Amino acid sequence: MAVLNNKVCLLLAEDNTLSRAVVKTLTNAGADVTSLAILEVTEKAWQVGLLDSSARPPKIDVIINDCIPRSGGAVGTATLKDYRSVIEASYVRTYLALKYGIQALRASGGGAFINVTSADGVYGAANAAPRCSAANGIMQLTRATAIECAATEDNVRVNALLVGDIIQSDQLKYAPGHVSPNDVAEAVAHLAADAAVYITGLLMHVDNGGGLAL
Amino acid sequence: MNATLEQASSAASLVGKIALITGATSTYGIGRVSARAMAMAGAFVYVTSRDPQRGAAVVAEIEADGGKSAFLRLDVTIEEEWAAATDQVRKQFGRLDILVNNAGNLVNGPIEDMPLEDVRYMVRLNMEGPFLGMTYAWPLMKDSGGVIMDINSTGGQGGSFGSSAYGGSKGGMLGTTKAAAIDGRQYGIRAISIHPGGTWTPGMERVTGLTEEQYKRGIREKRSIPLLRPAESADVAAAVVYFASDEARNVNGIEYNIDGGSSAG
Repeated sequence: MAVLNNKVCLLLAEDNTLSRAVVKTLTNAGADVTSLAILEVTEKAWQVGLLDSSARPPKIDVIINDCIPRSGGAVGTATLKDYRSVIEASYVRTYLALKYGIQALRASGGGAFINVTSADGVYGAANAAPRCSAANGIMQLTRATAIECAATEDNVRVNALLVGDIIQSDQLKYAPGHVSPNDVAEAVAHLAADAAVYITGLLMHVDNGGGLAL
Repeated sequence: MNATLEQASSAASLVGKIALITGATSTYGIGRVSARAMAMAGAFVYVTSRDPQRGAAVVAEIEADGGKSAFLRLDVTIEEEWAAATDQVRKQFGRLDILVNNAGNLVNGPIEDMPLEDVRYMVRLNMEGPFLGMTYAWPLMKDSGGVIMDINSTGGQGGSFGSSAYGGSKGGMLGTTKAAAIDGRQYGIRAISIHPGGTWTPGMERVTGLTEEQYKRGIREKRSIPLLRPAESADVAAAVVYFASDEARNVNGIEYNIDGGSSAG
């Protein structure tokens, strides 16, 4: 298991099976995890939430942002309102999380920012045009931010996990494209640890080979 | 900052696992450091290379770390040597959990000057070697599953000046890794492609003819890597330990870059 002794982790997520698995795995690895759900997609909400609020830890080593977009529907069926709502809640929200998150990490002397988004941004999927758009946008935001951070030598690393369909199952063998919440949590711990200090701008699939041909 | 050997070895637990790694005897190379990290994480590690003398030194080093390992002579381009090495593994353990195809080399030069013989050399070493490794590891992995890690390069994903023979062969290697990821599904065999960018290793020292300080200064001055410093072998070893472990059990067929952001922009 990754070693995260005394690392302060901020999890930007609502309560769900994935966020519970992440909290458990990081805590077991020795980290101190705080969860924060900022629902409003405004500059003010994120500035206050990540920089000014007493709800956030004073020093932050790792920020994990759950930004797996909702599917949003099929092209031809989804309305512009549906599309905008998915993009706003995932892509635009992630822009704000990065903008203020990297400032919080810089103020702590550096750290790791991990976006957890969908592998549908790479491969495409049926009935999920808004998700595919948002996830691919988040991939490029991740890369752009990683490059900007590297250029300033601020010790902030920015990476993304591209996850498959998250399935809670008792079966040991998962189908291609399916992963468990624990699988994602282990990958979060891997990228959060100091062993991954050289890794930045990485888009790492955690999808049990889902995008490979059959 | 780069990962340390201790950090790499603590990336995951490999207790009870049997590993074989090729090209594992260069002093501070990716293979040797990965072998040490896997052994420190609890695996039994077959250290292999063409050089028994240096192999014995690596085994001694691993034993001094408190790990378990044995040396097997293995030129990855020779099929008979794969047969003999994997026979040894079969006799001793009856299975193999982890194969790291690390042995490699680089020839560099513009395509118009590249001798066909050099292209064939790269094919033998960087494509046939890993292919043979998979072929001979397969029967030892089929019953209980396993992980194959191919140490590729960012050169296998995108072109750079003078990389026709090397990059071409690494691109071919990537195709084999992806195919193995698919062919292995039914047996619980995973295949992972690991792509270091500029990494300070004895191989890099030989190819560039630079000192470590000169190499690092060049990266900083040319801003050729976003993080402005090269990877080190332990950064790669950390990935090897992680992907070899059960913690990465549902990660398969991926390209994992250790390139300080080079592939991001």
